[in-house]
Amino acid sequence: MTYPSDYIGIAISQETHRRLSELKEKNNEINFDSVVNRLLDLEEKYNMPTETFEYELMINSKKSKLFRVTYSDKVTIEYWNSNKLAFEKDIKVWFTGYKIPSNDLNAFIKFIIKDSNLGLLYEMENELVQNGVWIKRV
Amino acid sequence: MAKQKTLNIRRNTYERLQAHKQLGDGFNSVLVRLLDRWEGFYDLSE
Repeated sequence: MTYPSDYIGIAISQETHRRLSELKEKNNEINFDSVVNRLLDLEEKYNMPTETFEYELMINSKKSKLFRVTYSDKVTIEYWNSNKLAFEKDIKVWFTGYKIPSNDLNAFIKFIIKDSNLGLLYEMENELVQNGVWIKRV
Repeated sequence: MAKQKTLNIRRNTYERLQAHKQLGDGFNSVLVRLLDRWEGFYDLSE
């Protein structure tokens, strides 16, 4: 079977494949991707951890800040260019890393972290971005 | 890991799985953990 280009193949054991196949058949799922997403939905809904993660922010290949957020916090990245909001993204705290590429010498980022009650935890702006931004869990 | 199979998933699903990796985990370990926890509750109503 040929898969569309947005599919990625990962290696799993035969036993894991058997267990996923069983769930797929029993629940009439259309494909394995649906099964994996359902398992992830359950994990993320019912097993939300309470621990705190540490993230470092790297701008232009320089480490900028180490900060802590809890699992339920909302992290928003705003990417501004010439005083206009060019890009905005909410990222889940459990992501291990996120990169914004930038070749625009006039761009700067506003990086905002808010907790689940939308209280401001951290805000940084007016940092020129020439070489991309990494938000990396450490 | 003996006798591997290839599981084809969407990029978005791959990134979701990636986010659940713990230190030293491969994707198979993540899936085993998810299955251990949730395969008996797969049809849990929302």
